[in-house]
Amino acid sequence: MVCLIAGFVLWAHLASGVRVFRSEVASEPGWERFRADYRINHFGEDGQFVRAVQNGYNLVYYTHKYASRFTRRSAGDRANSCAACHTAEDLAYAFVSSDRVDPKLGKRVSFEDRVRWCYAGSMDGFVPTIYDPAVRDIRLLARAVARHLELGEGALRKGD
Amino acid sequence: MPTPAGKLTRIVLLLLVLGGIYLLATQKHMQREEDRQTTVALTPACAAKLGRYGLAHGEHYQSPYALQRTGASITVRGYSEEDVRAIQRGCNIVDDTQGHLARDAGRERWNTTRFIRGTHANCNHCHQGIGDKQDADGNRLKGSLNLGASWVMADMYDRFTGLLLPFELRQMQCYINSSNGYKPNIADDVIRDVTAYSRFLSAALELKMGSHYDEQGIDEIAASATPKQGDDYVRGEALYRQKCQNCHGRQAFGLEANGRVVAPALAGPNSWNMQSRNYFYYVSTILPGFICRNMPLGEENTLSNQECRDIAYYISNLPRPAGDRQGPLVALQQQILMTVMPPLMRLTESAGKHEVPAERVPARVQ
Repeated sequence: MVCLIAGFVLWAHLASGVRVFRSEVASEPGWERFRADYRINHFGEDGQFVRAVQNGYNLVYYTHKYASRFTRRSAGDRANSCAACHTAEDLAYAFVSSDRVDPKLGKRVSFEDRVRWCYAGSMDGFVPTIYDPAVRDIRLLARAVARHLELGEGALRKGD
Repeated sequence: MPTPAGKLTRIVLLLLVLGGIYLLATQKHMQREEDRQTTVALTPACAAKLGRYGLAHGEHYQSPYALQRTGASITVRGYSEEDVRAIQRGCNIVDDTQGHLARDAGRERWNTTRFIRGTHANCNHCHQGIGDKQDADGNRLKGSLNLGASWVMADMYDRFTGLLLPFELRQMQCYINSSNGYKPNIADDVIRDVTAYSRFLSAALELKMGSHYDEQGIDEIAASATPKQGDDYVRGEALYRQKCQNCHGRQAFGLEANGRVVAPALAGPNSWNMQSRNYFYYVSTILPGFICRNMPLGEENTLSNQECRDIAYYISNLPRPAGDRQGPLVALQQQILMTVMPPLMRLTESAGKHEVPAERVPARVQ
């Protein structure tokens, strides 16, 4: 029995390839470039923050694959990811200017609210909870990019 | 067997109850929306702080503080009138969490006391200078738990919880542990307004996202930063008597005057609980760091590392509420201790058996 359990644990961690058994995040095309461009390595090679940013990258650029629970878009759709509309820097600027009253809506809107609406509206899908990694990790990606750009609260883009 | 008329009555009753709840919720929602639009009466300290930082509604914001200190200031996105009110309420909450200075604590503090058990807890006790402590020259102070600096460093890995801790969750921990209270909802105005204020602070101080500043958090003091004498209860008690007792009271139950807290409780029912990071047996480096950098008021940085650790050790051995992870038995034990110990200590002190021998009062170390 012990051998069976040990065997399962070894298989799960080393050989299964099942995502829930792995501590690392799948590396999608473009991640290494993104990591170098935005100096994500400042936070280390690995670790929770970097893994969350990497997951954020996957969510933003491969939304249909990594947030399939919250989008009806599929691989065949033209606009099937956050990156179809937003760059990572857009997200960073949006993050530092969030939590303010949106005059059109007449209420205060957080970055997380915007992300959730994107899932529901632009992605023709469903609303994740505010705690869901599908929301959190996009915020962390925005934060990491904002750090690289040395943005402060309310930073404006040139021309704003 | 219920008759059709009985069934119908039940359905009507159920619909009435549900409709009543819906109407009540709608009315509360509208009331809250109305409150958000109402002018905020600032506490004197908040009026001074926000006035100094030039908070006003407008398309753009430039920090007078940065301009004065560096001769230049970045133009950032401004604030709407509602944003300004949220920042003002956030400042009020930090400065006067219990709403003693409020005309209408429901509107100006969102009844923050709903989430606090004791009568002493106030954000400004730890996050001094309304979360932005500075010296007379306007220098921000190391280890002073600056809220703006905490905001720009939020979401980082927190080694005490093992989480990538968002700013809002950190506030919840303050309510649960430091205030020995209850968890507000993440979207509650209580949380969002303090976040809005903290974000404004980071704009006023021109702090950059993801950068660590000295004033962020605590300047922790580990045992390795002392001459390794070990933390001593008796030395701690003697130092407490010398340095802290005048304000915090003989049994560290704090000091109140005219219904207001002059010095908060460090022990007893109004104090932080055993799950707080201030509790020495949970994290042994935080409270000493806080004491060294922020206490005694007006004489900060005058105590040595060992003295701070001794005082923290002594304080943490005094009775206080159990945290939410300790379970009912520990909670009961702490309640009994909080009830029994104060009169016992008074008794032993009055019998003259509680004097600390002069030779145990420490010479200055380190």
